[in-house]
Amino acid sequence: MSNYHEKELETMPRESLEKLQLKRLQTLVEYVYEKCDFYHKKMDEAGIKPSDIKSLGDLKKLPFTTKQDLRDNYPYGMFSAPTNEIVRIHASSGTTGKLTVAGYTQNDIDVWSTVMARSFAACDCSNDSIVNVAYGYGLFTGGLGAHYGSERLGALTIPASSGNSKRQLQMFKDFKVTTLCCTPSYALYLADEMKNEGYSLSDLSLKQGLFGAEPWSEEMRVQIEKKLGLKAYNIYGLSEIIGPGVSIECEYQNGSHIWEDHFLPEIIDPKTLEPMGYGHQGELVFTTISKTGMPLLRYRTRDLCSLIDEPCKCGRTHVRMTKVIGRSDDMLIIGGVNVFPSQIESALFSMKGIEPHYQIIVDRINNLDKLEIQVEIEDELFSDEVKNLQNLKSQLEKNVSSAISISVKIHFVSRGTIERSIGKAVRVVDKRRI
Amino acid sequence: MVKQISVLIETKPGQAYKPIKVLGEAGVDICAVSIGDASDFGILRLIARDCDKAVNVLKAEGFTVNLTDLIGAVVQNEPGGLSSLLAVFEEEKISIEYFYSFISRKHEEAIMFFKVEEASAALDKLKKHKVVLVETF
Repeated sequence: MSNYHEKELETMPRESLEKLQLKRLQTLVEYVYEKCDFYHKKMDEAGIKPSDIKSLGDLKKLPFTTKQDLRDNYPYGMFSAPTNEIVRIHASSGTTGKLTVAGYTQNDIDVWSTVMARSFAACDCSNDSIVNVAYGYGLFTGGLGAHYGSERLGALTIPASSGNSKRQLQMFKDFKVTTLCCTPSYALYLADEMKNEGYSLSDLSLKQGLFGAEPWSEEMRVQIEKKLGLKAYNIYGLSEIIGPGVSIECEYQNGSHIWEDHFLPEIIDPKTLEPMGYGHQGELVFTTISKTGMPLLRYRTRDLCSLIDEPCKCGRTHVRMTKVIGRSDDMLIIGGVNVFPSQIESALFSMKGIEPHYQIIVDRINNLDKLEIQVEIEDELFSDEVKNLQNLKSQLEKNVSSAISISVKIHFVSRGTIERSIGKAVRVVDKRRI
Repeated sequence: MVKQISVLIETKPGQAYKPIKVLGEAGVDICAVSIGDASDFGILRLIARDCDKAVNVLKAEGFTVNLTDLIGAVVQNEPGGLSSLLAVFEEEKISIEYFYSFISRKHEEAIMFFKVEEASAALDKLKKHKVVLVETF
């Protein structure tokens, strides 16, 4: 018997769920058409009126929303609610250094807390749980998202945030933490620190972990479970939609249930943009049907996966998404931070004398993501003095790090070292086994 | 002035060998070599008898190369020889970035190469002190 937070909604028969979805979709389309100039214009251009949405099948008539739209309408242009109804903002980094902003009304915070509480329950948490939230608190949705959900469930919630591993481990032991929320790479890092700090599994009371914000492999899951003595669940989300808690694995861990009464999923062919049926691999698209702050129509996540509609043994009727197997754009997720190669490129080229030849190398060393950039420098910039080159190197490292908000190591190489390819250059080498 | 050729190398096995091998195969005579070393890259500095040829060969092979003016000065190959030369630098307040040596074919003298700030001004000062300067070998 599975553990639910809102049993009725989570196990609602498909027919009733779809009725609810349609009702919410119709209300939403009317709402954004009236409140958000961006959508009003887009729908007029597409020749769609809110009254044209008569069935869930009519969803495909609605225009798509992209990350570019969010950037173009920075900071408040995508909001349907006026700022006096917005109670919070979160943001993630975008390609141009401009933030991608998400605004939440009190209603949205409630929706988010609820879907996160459901997610915790699906991982067998309850008000008996002692939850250590080691996602970062701040503009990133991870920390506060998990925090509000854990509190909503009634669990004892520790706002540990990320970093300070020594203290995290001390709290695991002293507070008898049962539940860990963090990125999977940080979980593995903590597991290794555990050994170094002299803790053994018998010191810990961990039962489960909700890990997400970056892609991870089954091998990592096995390692995390073994080293921390817990059951590791995948949690999925993105700030544009709400944050963590868009979908969660149940105890059967065969895909993640999407909370479909709030987030209406579709899979589309990223080339033709045509909707694809269940079981087909394509790009995941969401329409947020209960948010009021910044509701989005058909938001293209760029995440590639497929949807599973077969009933799940856990009793939840909400469809599952398979593991995200890649992206339909070139975004990298490094240590939980979104990075676009174009950001790195413009930071590199802002300095004169840098050859157009560079290669971004992402690796996972001791379970932490590392970013290295190999750069060929022109003869004119090359100096016979070590200190000049070291200054150049640290200047470049500074420029790139501040553009992408994560630390980076620059490595100078001779001309011709980076393999020239015919056609599209190989700019990114991702050595992580995900 | 003496032209020094600098070549960017990575700190990995075989990295210094590559440019030296290329020059050897092209029949370039290398007079002096020095290495500047950082944590993850190095600078191979060379003085070749035929500098233009050496640069062309290295560039053709794709090496990152640049040229620097050094001061070449003769030192007597005897105790105190280098000391009396450096005394002039000290007296004239010429600041040295780095220097290295080359044993001349004449046994009684060695040649030192100096990288200094403002090389031409330094050269004039050294001439005043009758330091024996060299430009070719």
